[in-house]
Amino acid sequence: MNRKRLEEEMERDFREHIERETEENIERGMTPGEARHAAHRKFGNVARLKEETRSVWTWRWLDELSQDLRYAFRTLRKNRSFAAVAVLSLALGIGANTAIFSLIDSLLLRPLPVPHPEQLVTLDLWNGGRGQASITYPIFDETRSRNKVFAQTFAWGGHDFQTLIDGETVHVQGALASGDYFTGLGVPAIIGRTFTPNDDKLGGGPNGPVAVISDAFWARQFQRNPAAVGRAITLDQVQFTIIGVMPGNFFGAEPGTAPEIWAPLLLAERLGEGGCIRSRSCWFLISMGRMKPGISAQAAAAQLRVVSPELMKAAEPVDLNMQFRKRFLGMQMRSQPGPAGFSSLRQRFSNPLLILMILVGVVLLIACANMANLLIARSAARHRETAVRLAIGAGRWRLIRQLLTESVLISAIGAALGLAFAEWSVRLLVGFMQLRRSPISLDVNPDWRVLAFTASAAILTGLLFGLFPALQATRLGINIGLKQRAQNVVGAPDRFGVGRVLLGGQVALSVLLVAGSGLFAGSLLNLWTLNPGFNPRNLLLIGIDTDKRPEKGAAFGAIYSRLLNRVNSFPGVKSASLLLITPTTNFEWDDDVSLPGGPEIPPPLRDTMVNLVGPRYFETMQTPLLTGREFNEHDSATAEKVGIISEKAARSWFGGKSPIGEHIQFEKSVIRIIAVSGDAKYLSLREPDPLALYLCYLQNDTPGGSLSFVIRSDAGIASIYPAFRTAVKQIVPGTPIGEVTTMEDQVKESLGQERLMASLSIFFGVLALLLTCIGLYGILSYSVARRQAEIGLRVAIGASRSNVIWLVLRDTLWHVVVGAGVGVGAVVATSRFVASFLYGVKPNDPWTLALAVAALAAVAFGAAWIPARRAARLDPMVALRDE
Amino acid sequence: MSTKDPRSAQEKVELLQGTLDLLILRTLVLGRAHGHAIAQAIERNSDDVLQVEQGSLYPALHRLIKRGWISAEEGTSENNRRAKFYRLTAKGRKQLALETTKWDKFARAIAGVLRPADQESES
Repeated sequence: MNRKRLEEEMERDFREHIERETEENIERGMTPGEARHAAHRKFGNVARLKEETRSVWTWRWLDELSQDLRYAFRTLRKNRSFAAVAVLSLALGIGANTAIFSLIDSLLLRPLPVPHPEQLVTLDLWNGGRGQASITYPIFDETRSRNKVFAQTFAWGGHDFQTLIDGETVHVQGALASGDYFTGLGVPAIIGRTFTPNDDKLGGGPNGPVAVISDAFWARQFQRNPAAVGRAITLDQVQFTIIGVMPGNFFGAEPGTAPEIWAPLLLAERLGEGGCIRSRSCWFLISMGRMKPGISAQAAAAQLRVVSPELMKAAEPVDLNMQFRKRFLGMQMRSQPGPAGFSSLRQRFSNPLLILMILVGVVLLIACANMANLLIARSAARHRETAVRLAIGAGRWRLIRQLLTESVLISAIGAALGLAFAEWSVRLLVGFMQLRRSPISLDVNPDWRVLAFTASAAILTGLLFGLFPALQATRLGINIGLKQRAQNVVGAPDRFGVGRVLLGGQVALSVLLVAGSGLFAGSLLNLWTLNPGFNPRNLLLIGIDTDKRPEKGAAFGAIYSRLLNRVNSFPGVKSASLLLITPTTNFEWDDDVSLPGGPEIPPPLRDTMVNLVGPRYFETMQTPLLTGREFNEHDSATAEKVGIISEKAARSWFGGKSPIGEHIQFEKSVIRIIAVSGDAKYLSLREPDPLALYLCYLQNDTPGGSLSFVIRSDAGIASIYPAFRTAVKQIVPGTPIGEVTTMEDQVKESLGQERLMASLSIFFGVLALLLTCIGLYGILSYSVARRQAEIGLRVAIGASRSNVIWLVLRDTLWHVVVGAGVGVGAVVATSRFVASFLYGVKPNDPWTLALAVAALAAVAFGAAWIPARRAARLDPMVALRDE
Repeated sequence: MSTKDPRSAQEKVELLQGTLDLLILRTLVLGRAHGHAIAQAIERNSDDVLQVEQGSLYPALHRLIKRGWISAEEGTSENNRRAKFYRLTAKGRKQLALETTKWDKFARAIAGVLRPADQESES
């Protein structure tokens, strides 16, 4: 403890001793040199003596610790039920904290597994507000050539490669990466080599198109055969040569993703992303830089700021409208320290995770309060033991230390169990965050940060819940402690004792958690039961990937028409149609609409969400058509362009007038309106119904774009899918089938964040209730036991059962009421911070608050009932004789 | 105390296990003293027969503190130098009495074995 002081004192002691001896030797007539030498000889080997002295202290400290630990273990073994409750509640509390923290760690804190991650910066476009990470190739190219601060500037874009595996075309997640990507990250291949700027050429470098594969892909496709390097692989119908395999822990610079194939960026021209290299408005890249040695992050950012205006000018997206270009030129390239790489998950989950971290922190606080309560109750039961120990000369500090050893031991065991619990629950959490479209693979194995977090949580909680009871237990005078039995008959309840305050605090925190979970659950329920404008039940979605089909224009549309006819003939299919953008996937196609020759539409009513759909779309989705007709096969590329608008659009643009037959201008075409549909959700369920415009897929001349089939059927995917696959094989052989899902699952998935918040907060809320229940039960049982004699006496002189029950419940009830009041106050004060996560409930929804208080009251009453009944059943004879 | 100065090995009398503790306690009966003074007192009182390797005093002092038999305090010595003073505690005083009795018994027993005649004549 004060080891340093002891060390210094010993040092001084020794020096002093030798000094004195030397002086005396000089007085005896030795020369100073001789004197010193003799003194040293007489003293002995200084180093060895120091060691011997030190071992005396060490043993003392260790001795006492092991004594305390042995004692603590013994006490815990004697009180098994107490130990079980304590360890379990702490395991849940600490485990939940560890789980959330390890997510935060892997998503926000953990540096990339690359050499010198501190030299890495992330780049984004910034206009003073929120940054935009995705950039175009020209922006990247200009940034790379104009900056002088980065040793490597690199960029990448996610890309789904199509490759032939076992005769079936499948998708493999990968990335197109610039030549400096691997050198910039500083990770070499485990076998073969990575690609370099030399390979990153339009059409391929000297070795033609080359690709690097991940360890996982190597294991799966090549059984880790080193001969895989040099093998040819067909990606998106282009022949590539595999030149290297990356190590197993390498996932690039984007935590959460797991690319399996990397190809040079400029080969994008030959792959599916055609046009994106030259385009000034194809925002498909994420970029980072590695700073040159000796350049600070501030210097890098400053230099980038200086060159920013010219590079933005050089990369200006001239193909976009003036308004956008102006906004574009107002932005600058920004560099920020980025040792943890870039992750799109961060934006999506950092707020929910922070809120969850607070929630689990509250749970841990409740568990602490609970533990403190249990310990106080128990230490009261051990008053005599403590008093005796004090009486026979134990130091107070020594006793406190021993009690603290016990509580830290409890929390350490809890933490060890909690780690296991966290391990399991964090996988569950990642499951909640999954989206099929971009599977998340996070390294959530605990690293030193997580372990340090858990260890310090354990020690801190141990001290937190242990200190107060320990102080209180050792404060009492010896006399009081020893005479305590006599006091029992009088039994003044310590109404304002620490235990009661803790109980009130626990109740308040529980109300906060339960109300929070009520709010989140209510929001989820509102979203769940909301009418999205279509019926998601029994609706199948099957996507096919026709991006690489050779057919263009009308021939392209004809593929879908033939497939659609087949699908409509499947048994069990009520109706089927096509759509470009599946609602609630957060994808959008929007642009401004105007009225040719009509009045100007005010700006907020111009921006319209567009979707391409097929015939019978509204019938299939069960979105009502208010007036007009569905699209049909006559609405072809050569016919007049027609469109269907939503009710909201009709009202906004045409007022009360019927829009049928009216024309609107969208992009370059004039469209005649043939119908008005009911409003339906587009981006997500949370967004208000948009102004919507539906166009017929047969009339769309924008190239590319894969459509999905939407099928209304009771039959289920399992029976439709085989027929669908056969149809695809016959009509468009070699075309990969994309996503297969149901609309219900899609909607469910789109509510991932809400489900995460709701289920976790409910879990934590229930946990809080459970802990409070345990704490209350413990305190009351203890106080009934302690007041046994008093109660017996009361019964003996005529108190009725209800009198006794009331006696027990009275002051508990008071603390529950006060605690609940404080809790409600806390909810009112804090709930607005989660307002953005709520849907259809006010942050201070009175019903939710009432429900939370009621739940707590029920739990408190339940917990109090058993001890109260026990008190009421006391036989006065037995109770008094026990004295 | 495993290493011995070979030159002085014959003149010195090796201390028995635990004896040093007793000597320290005995020395401190007269009042507090610092380390060097204790060492000197032991040497002087035993007519320099008992040669303590002076440094080995310190592990012993710390051991005694740990057992609660002596306590340490900061103080100023004769020539105004700061030093650590050791003092006998109540517990130490009791221990000294106990150890002294034990030692007397032990010494008598040994003496009886070595010089039975002396013993007889005395009794």
